[in-house]
Amino acid sequence: MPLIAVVMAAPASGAQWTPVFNASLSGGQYFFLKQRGSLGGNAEVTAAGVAKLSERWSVMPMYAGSYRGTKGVDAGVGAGTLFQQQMDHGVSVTGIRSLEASTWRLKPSASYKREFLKETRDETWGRGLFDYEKIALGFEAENIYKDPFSWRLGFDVFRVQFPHYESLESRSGVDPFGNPLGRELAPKKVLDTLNWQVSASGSRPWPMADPRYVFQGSYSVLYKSFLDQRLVDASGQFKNEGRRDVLQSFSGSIGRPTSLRLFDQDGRLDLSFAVNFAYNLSNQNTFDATFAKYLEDSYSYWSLGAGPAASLSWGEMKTPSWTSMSLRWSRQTYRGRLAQSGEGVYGSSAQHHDRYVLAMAYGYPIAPQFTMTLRTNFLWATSNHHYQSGYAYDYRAVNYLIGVSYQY
Amino acid sequence: MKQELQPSRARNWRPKTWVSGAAAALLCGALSVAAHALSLSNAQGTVLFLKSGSYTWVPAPAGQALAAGDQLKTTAGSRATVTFDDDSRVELSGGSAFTIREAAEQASEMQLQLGSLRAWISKSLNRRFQVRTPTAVCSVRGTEFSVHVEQDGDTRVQMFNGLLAVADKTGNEVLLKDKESIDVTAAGLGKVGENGASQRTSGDESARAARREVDLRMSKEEVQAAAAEEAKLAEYQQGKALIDVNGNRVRLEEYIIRPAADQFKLVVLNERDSRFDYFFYQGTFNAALPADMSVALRQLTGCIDVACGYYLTSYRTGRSNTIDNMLEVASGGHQVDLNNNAVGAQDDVSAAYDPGTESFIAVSAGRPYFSTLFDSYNLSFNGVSHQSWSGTNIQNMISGQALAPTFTNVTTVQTSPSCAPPNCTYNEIGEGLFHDVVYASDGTGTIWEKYDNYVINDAGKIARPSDFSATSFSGSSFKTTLLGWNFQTIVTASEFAGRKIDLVVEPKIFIQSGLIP
Repeated sequence: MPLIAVVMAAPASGAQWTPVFNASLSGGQYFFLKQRGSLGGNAEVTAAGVAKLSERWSVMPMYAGSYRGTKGVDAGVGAGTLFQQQMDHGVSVTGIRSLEASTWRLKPSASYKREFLKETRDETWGRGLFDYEKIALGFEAENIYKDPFSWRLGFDVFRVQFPHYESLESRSGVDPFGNPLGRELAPKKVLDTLNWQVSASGSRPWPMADPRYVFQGSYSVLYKSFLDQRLVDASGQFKNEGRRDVLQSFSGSIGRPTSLRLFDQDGRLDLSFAVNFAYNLSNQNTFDATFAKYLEDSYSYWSLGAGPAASLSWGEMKTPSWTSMSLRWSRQTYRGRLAQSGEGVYGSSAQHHDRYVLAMAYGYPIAPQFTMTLRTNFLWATSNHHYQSGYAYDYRAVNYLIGVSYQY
Repeated sequence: MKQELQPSRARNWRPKTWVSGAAAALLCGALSVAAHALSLSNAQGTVLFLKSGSYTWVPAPAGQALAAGDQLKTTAGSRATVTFDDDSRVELSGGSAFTIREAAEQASEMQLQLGSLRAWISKSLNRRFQVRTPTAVCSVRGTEFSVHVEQDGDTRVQMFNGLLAVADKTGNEVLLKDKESIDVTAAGLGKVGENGASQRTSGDESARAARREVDLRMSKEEVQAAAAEEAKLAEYQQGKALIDVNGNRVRLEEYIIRPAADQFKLVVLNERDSRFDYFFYQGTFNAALPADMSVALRQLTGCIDVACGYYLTSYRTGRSNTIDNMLEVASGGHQVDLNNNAVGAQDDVSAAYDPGTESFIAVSAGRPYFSTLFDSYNLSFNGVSHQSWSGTNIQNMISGQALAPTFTNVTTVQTSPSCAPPNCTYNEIGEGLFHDVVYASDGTGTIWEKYDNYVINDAGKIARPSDFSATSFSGSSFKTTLLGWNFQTIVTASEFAGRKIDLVVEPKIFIQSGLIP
């Protein structure tokens, strides 16, 4: 792993170098409905370092990679519900510029990420249908007005490309009578997008001098331009216009950290409650050829989520034992996508999908910087949309993972 | 070996103890240093200066001369360096408050009310240098050390090079050597830290800041990855990616083309890693189609009580793997009331698919049921006709009856006991699998066609009879349940030279077009 070696190696003379290295290895299983997936392994590595080049300038190169052989409960459950292997590799460089006479810092960044996905027997690494690559440029201004609390303003532009995904229609040719199989204006790279995002976020303790609560909030606007996806009209044909989405997201949380004595040791209890709201406005429609049904505004939706979380740690500050639990409810409701019966009959109400996720975890230090971890997640998904051909909306899923994590 | 001087009330250091200040005293060995000329040699960020006797804080420029009574403040993220004429210097971190209490030739005294400083003091045998905190006094010579003061007065002293005597207000005293550290709180002296502890603590601050940057970076990556994930899920939700019976991914696209005002063309495309198959159904209606095509398409399979307003006059449907094809062509379509035609009950319809409710309903005897019959039909494989019929204004499809077409069938369905699997018509429902085979051939077996049909779920698992209330591959109960499954049909024929056409479709497509009986 030459990149990791570079990141972890001593820097060039003159720069102060602070390495960060996290790694975890775990194994577990995924259960979906009454089916059980085979045992699989997960691994994650993050290697980064902050090089302080001068009093004003620092730079942080970073590599983050992961392999997932055990499916997460929050992953999509369309095709290949049990078998899924995912691997991703990403590199980034972030510059950190401290402004004179100010607590503001400016952080330009650039990153590249490639994700590989194997979901079927005939897919191989590097040839997955849904492999994608992302290249991003970003800029963030951060005001650490009271470390670690800060305000942040960010602007990012990133391009997502699915190199192996092209619409079948765009290369469908002609039928045996010589007539075209595809529609006029059939687009090709229908999943590729160019994205522009503006975000603002911050955290604030209360009271400021003696924090007992921590408030966090964020707002972002993501403008998503589909590079080659045309709008569908009421007769199922393509228009000249392209698809555009605007996703606005709000999130907020309140946290209550508390010191306590536990097992005759210093401990810390963190309680929090978080909410989020998102609204996606899309100009795209759908024509369901199977049922000859036109669904206007079928990609616009709003989603709402909320839930409490608690974590408890005790023992040595650097290597504590810890346990955590969280419960999360979320609902996504589409504006124009109508719910169907089990046989596919369209109703008049909009589709909505509810999800409840219960996550529990436990960590126990087994050696300096090594922690044994045990995690399990439960998902309950329900929906008023009962036609579940091609994608499941109403199901239960469970996974568990046992492993070891390392932090330097 | 580390030498540890045990304080009278040693205790473990804690990062924050919530006690009031003004308790600890830090007394370092009385040494002295010449430091009679001071200046602010470096000012980064916001460094404020309060001249002795003045009441107004002003920004301090680098080079500002300093004297006894002057005060400095640094805001978070700022930094200031005070330099003495013997090159001794004190560096103030952000968020610090600092007062020059004395700046004489034989002694210099500073007070750190809050924050952190690090000092590099030149060696001199006859000079004294002091740093006071709200709770302590520190006197050093010829050393490098740092002092950090919390808001409550808790103080941490880290020794990098030199010798340092530390005492609290109660008189307890300890001697710090190179690279040792100690915390002093209202409760008294803490334990002397190990040599590396101070370095680790210093490094911890950088590491914490670095980890924070890593966490922020990872959060941003997650947000951006979610955008890609959503695009993928949209494809799944529209059923555009399925698994076939062999465990291979099948991409599926279905859409409608409008070649003319009275025509529609339904296209289903399948792609696997190494193959491309498609199905199409192009119909020509008796009239121009309405804007809402579903009005016309609902009438494709027939109409109860009254003749259909929209019906096909001709159609062409086909399947292909881009090399081979199976084509059906029909023309001369017209409406016939099957339940009241001349052949009696032989072709009566007792259950019909009702597109309005997407289900099958019972049709009582004698109740009018209008279906489209075609005067001409041909089924061919790579251009070789296997089955066909022709007639004029035909009224039924029963061979030999009046107004029935003339059939020219090269192949006929082969069933047991005249044949045995695999080249025979059979099913595996008895074995618990919804899989059936339809085999048709001519008398010599040289011209043949074979349909291998599976009912599978989205993960490619073959349905079991327990999933259905039906026990065969036909009937309204079977077809109603089938709507929630996928239908995979593999077609081979004597003309295909061992190749196949392998299609996975939503069964609604086949039911609606009458391809599933």
